[in-house]
Amino acid sequence: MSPEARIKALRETEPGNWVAFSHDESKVVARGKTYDEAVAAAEEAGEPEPVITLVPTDWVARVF
Amino acid sequence: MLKLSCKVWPTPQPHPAFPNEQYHWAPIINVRLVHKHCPPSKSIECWIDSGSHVCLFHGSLCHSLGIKRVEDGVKEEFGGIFNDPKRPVYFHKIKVIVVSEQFETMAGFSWDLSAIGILGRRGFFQNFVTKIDSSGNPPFVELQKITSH
Repeated sequence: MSPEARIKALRETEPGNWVAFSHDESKVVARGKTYDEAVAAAEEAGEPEPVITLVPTDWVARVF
Repeated sequence: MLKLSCKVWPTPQPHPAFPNEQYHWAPIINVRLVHKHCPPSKSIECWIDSGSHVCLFHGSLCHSLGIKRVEDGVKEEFGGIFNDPKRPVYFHKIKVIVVSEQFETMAGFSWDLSAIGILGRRGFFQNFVTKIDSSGNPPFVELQKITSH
């Protein structure tokens, strides 16, 4: 997945939701309101080993 | 030695200081978590953060790790570098798997985290000499496992 495609996928996700990428991170396979929901949706979509990330509630610059 | 590419993360749009940038490269790597004898989590994207003294993870992960209640952990109040209200963090002992390496640590779990996970000094930096090389495209992270404990 190109940097631009990844950014598009993240920005298109509902704020505060979870994204499941395919195991090779080439595409988005599922989304969910929780980690468990995203994992279950990924497995339903045929991806047993997704890579999961959390989209923040807004894209404000953050320091951790 | 593990060499891992950084990942892109969206910037505010438009960024007031960097109006032509849509994203920045961040030291985000995939890890898995294990708690006791439960199966490991799926791969989750975590931020390497030398500014955090511990590893922190989102409370949402606890259920799948077999931790029945986040709040059963050891509680500590956390603040950020801004004067935000303090937030409760609950510590549980877990293992963190980084590619083929792993370490055990007391990690904090919080419902208020805006990322899935933060890899901080206790646990992560105690176990990996970490180099972030931002000179290339893509930038990368090099991790050297420390074996002399």
